[in-house]
Amino acid sequence: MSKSPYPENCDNEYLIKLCELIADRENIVGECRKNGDKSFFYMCIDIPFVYEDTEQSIFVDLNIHIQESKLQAKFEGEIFALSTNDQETFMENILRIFSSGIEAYEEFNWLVSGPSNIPLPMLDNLPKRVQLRIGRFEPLGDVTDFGNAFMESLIELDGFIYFLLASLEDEEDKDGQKTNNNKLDSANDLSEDDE
Amino acid sequence: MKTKVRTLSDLHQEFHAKSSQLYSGAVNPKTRKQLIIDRQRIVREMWYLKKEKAKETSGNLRVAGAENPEFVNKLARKGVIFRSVG
Repeated sequence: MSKSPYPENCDNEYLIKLCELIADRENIVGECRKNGDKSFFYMCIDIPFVYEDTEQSIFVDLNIHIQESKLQAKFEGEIFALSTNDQETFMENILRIFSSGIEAYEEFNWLVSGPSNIPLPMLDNLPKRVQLRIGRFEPLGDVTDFGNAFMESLIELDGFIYFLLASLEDEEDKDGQKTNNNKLDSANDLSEDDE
Repeated sequence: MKTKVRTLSDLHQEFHAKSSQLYSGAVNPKTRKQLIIDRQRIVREMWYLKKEKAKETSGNLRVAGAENPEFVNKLARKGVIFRSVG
């Protein structure tokens, strides 16, 4: 995949706008793709964070579908490179965070849910590397306004990720010590965790 | 000394300002790292504010959409109440 979009798949002005917007962004690669006869925009976003004084990355895969009949753009994607040694506690924490007690929707406007191929009750069978699905809707209107809303949504995605990280850190602190039970791996590190 | 209590809205705005700087493309590596650290700190503050607000307003947590009875019972024992899916 290259940073240069494939114009033949960008068959509407909104997708073309997305191509233009990400062209200068060092932390994003993306392109227009086709699923059957429908075009969509795929991108991979590198979200930087500092952990133990070292800059690291969390990656987000995102597909943006322009739904003109519904006057909206649908963003759906996955956060990957987030792993934890205690799957059940992690999922429970996420549920607690994003249920009516605490939610990030108000500030950051991203929705979150668990892995699509694993139903929530099957907590004991979660893979070691947890994937979280995220989503968002943006109204379609003027292309320039859509572009501005898209750029804002990327900043808010960063905030949303940091919100998740803050909640994980908080759970560590609750135990009274940093046991490193919740560990953040780089997407490039596929080796087993050391414990 | 008067300490300004920062609201979620203040913090949100500050986060956006730092993000715009970070992605402006004109920062050196040291500034970049500091901006990333600042952003994380801001959102951590937001997290704690949200948590305090949640404690004040609800004794139980609600999770919508779960239909598996075993799962519902399991989390109900931990104080999580489920709303039924409409």
